[in-house]
Amino acid sequence: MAQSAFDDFERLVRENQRVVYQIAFGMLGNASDAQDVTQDAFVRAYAKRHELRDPERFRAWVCSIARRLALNYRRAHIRARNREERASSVPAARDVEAEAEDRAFLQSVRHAIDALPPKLRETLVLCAVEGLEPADVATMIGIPQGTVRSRLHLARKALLRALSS
Amino acid sequence: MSECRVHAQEISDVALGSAASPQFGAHLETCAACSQALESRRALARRLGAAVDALVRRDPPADLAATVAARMRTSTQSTRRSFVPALRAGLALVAAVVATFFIVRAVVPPPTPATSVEALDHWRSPTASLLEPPAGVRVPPRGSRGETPPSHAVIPIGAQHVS
Repeated sequence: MAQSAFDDFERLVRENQRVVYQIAFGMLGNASDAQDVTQDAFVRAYAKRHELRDPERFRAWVCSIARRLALNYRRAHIRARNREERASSVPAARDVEAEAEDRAFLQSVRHAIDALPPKLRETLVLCAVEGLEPADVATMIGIPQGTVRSRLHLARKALLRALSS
Repeated sequence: MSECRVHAQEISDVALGSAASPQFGAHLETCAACSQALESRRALARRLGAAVDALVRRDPPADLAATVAARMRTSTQSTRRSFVPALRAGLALVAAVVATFFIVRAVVPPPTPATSVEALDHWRSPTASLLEPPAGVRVPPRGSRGETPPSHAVIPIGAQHVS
């Protein structure tokens, strides 16, 4: 019985690890930190799995746990961390020059994202996670869906302004 | 040119997909500079969207699920490990208390009923001395001169009505 519950939860981990990892990575910008937060989120969810009344809401629940952990982690550690890794794994570039240019652009985008107000930054990152719709983000943060859309627009506009100047 | 400045703020909104106001739409038809600025801003917005996705949409490490499963097992075992010694300690404590109770009871026997009765025979109330007559005064025994018994005397139930 216990083994069956363990196996079921392991399946949930495999199904949701991508979205949870992307939330953590988007908010922290560091693979090592994101991996730690992802692991903590699942372990915590496993310890408190009896508190989840509706199993259908597992993904939203574990995403909320990951978001809270990432926020706490960011407050506690991020300033002391070197973020060189952030722009290190750029998608395959066509040649060295293009790769360098892409890397520089990603670096500047990352800096612009970091400079955003926290609410706009969080909304932008969560909306960029694969499989998360604005409705999911609204539920996760606890704000209306319209507010998510307006924050997303403001965040993109601020990034455009920062990068075009 | 001053009209370009008026619409400068709107360029980003339109580049991000918002509808242009009628005034700005009309201005775009006549102003090549603003049209070009809008196109370059749209290109930047597209590139920016792709960059944000690239910064967020990362594949998790291949061994992430296995690592999480291992940590889940460890946390379960550590919970069991911390529970079992606590249970053992609790049981040992209860056993020690029960054993102490029986040992004390065996060493110090409880008072026997006979001893208790004897103690009651010798017991005197602290106010008993107040009821005794003063020294040198002789008190006849009650009822010896035909007087009525004091009100507090004990009369058997039903004796007053017997003539």
